Amino acid sequence: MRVHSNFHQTNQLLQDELDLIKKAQNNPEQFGPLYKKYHEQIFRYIYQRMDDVELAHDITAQVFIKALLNINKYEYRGVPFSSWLYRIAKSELYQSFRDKKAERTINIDTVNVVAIIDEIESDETEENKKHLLHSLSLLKEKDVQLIELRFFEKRSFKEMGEILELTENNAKVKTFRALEKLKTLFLTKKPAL
Amino acid sequence: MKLNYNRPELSSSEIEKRQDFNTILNQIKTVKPYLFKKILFYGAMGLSSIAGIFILNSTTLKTSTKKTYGTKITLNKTISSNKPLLINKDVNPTISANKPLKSVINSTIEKVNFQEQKVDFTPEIKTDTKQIHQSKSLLPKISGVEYGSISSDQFLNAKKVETSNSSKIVSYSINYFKISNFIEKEIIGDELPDELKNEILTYHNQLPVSITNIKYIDTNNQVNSLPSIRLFIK
Repeated sequence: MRVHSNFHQTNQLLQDELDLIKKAQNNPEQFGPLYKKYHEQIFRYIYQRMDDVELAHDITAQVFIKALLNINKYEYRGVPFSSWLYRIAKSELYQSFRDKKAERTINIDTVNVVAIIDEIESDETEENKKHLLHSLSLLKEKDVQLIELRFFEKRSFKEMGEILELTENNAKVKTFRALEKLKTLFLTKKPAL
Repeated sequence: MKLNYNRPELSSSEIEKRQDFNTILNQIKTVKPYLFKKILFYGAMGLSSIAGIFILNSTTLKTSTKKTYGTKITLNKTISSNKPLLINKDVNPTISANKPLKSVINSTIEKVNFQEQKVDFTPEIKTDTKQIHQSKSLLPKISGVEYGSISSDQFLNAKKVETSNSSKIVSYSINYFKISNFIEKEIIGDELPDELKNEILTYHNQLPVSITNIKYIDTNNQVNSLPSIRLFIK
């Protein structure tokens, strides 16, 4: 899974971004560079959690409309602008699930399955892979979110904390617990051979 | 929850093709801000609040000005049956009921629920004040009392309703309370019947007795009205 994260930025890049935000606050037409910079990663974040590409594009557009409407409320607190956009994206995405416009989907590939199987210290057999997918579908939404961010999108705990509005440490603890739950489900609900 | 395994990934160029910042900008322009976010909303709210306070203040001022005109009389106040009204002698207010009382001739008794009577003095005050100025010399009186307190003896000895000069009173209405009922009687002529005086003395219960609709014949032989009088029998 490719994630073009702009989370880890140098101070100079953050300062440049802040200048762009200030310009956009005075004139919405100046928001263009920020839109170009973040469009793809916001789209991927949304599309990763659903299965309708058109709807994912619509929600992405909605995220940027909301961002532009509220750009004057944005305050720089030492975290990148992308965190703010991810929060809007998360809110819009879950609103579409509540409105039954989109269906919550877990998109996983072989690489990620293998990585998780390694984490739960099991063997990389076809059977285990299938069973892992089944166990994932049994997890609660909040746990799936953590697994997705950490293992599918390879985000840091700091970034996860910013997106989920948690501290870095809390994100770490919750991810560990979610993985433990997945492991328990994987081991206890394993079909008898 | 749906599961997709190895879904084909979208390329960056495919995603980039769908970028359309102009559409986003156009949509922003069509989105109207919420009403409460507009400065005009706060302006309108502020102005209406100020107007409301101003109206409220001016109404209060008006009421208090009118209160001073008739000393203890307050506007639109329901008469309490156990409290006599204190009335300024300079003005001659009369009781006017919210529901117009039917005219009663001689012995017919009209029963009106006293508790529901409201006194609206303002218009009457203006009219009567004029009348006083116009015919001050004709102020009616009973046993020499024009207005205010009268002793039981004075009232009992009164034979008729008189004027200051020799003008002849042809009819009048007398209003009094019998227990808690308001009674109005129309008398033809100027005499005060003994039966009526006795009834009033028995039942007045410190409440005022009003003599209204006093008609007299002037020097041009025309029927005119005199101001009403109100007496408190002690």
